[in-house]
Amino acid sequence: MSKGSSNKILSVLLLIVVVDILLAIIAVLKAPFPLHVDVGAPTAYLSIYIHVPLAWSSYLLFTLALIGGILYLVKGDEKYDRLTRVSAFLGVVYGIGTIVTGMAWASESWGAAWNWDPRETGVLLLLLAYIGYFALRQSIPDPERKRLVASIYAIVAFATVPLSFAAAYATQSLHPKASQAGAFFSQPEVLKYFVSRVIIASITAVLLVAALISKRPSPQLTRAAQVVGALIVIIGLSAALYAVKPFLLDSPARVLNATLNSNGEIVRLTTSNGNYTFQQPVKSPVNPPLYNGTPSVIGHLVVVSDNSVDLVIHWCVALVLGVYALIVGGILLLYTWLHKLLQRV
Amino acid sequence: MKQQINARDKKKLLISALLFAVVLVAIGYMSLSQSNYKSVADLADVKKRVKVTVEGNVTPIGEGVYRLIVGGKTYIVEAHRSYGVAYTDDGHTYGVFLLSSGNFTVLALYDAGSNLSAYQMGSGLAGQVVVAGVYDPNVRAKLVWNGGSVELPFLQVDSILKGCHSSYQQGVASRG
Repeated sequence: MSKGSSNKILSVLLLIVVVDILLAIIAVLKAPFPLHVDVGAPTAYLSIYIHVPLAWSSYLLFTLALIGGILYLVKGDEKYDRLTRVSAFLGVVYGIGTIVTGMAWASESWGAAWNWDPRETGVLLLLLAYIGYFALRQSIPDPERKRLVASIYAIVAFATVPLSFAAAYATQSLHPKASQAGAFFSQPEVLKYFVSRVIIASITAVLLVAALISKRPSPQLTRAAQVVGALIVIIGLSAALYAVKPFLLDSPARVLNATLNSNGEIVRLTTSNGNYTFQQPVKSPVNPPLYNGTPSVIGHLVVVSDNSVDLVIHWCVALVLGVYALIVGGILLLYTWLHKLLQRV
Repeated sequence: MKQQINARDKKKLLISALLFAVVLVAIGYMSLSQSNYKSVADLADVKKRVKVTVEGNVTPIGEGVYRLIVGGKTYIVEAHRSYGVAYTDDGHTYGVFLLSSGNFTVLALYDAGSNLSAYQMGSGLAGQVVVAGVYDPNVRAKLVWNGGSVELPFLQVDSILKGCHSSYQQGVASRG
């Protein structure tokens, strides 16, 4: 790959990454969530717009590592070995992000952060298998032998990818099957945010691979990557801080019960912080205000004032957003170092 | 002397690796499909105090006020069909529900003030749930009401692990 194409790849990547993080922030602040959930705050499900694309991108990265392994064995070209190790490395980083974001979400929506759920455990095993890939590489001094053995290992390790995915189908998993989640995802409002997030996150992951396997771009572009990386981290963490602000400044309460008038406005509210009766009915912070005749605000976290009830996004969503910004921004910020490191291993 | 591997050998290695991966997937899938959460009915065979994760169906506990006695401790339970709220003299609050599978039913009790929110005490408890906790076959729970009582095996619940499957089938909401 020429230096010219390296420059082009990195330029496109920088543009896409900015769009990616902005889209993630918009999804967290604007996208819809389930009308009613069994456990926890329905807004915790906003994590779906970041956690799932992150998980799918990690599967995509491990698939690229498999392709690299196969191509190296078929063609014997060192560039395919580079594709495998860069993809496996990014796959591990994305995989760790998937586990962390999933744990934060599960702590609210499943009742515990770690549940030994079959897919959860499957992803953990997958990560261990790919961390083993790098340990294996380090243990073989002869470069050609290292590439050969590592390629074979990358092909075999890929078995953990379909296994971790199929775990939710083969067993009774806390993760939903596609058929169970389909009703939610087929809603046009959800589809719009979810599909765009999946596509853009996948493009980001593939471009990160391309940028790390290509020749080093010009020093100006390398510096630009570091600046954009720093900006992504700052913007992402600021947005996460904004989302989590009510937990820092106010004392959000869980809505246990609510009484609405015929206009769907809240008249009385029972929360974990106490009971409230409003002289002037206030607008429900959730639209639609009713679910099967029950106020849909029940279960949500809110901040109550004299004349308003404000919805609070669960803190796990802010954490999920922060983790994603740290991953993508961090890789760009450390671009030069990672580029060098991944040439060596 | 360094031994070179030719293209033909590399292809053999590739085919072996692919076959090995396919076999791993097949064995892994078979083993996964045989593994599930233990049923709460399996607790009938437990002989000593153990940490367990079991699944079962939430069975209606009825409505009204009961007295609950577990290991010498007494609770007053306000039952609301699928769950109850248990109070002790010191003002502590617990969630109570019945978990069944087949003919086996345990009384499950969890501390509502610790790791579980008040919200989970109510509407979250319905249908099939997975719970993690401690089961001791020597501890029994006695539910007493006017004119009767029943003794049940007892499960101290640490966490209620509930899948999110049904949440995706309830329509969507947005900020109002």
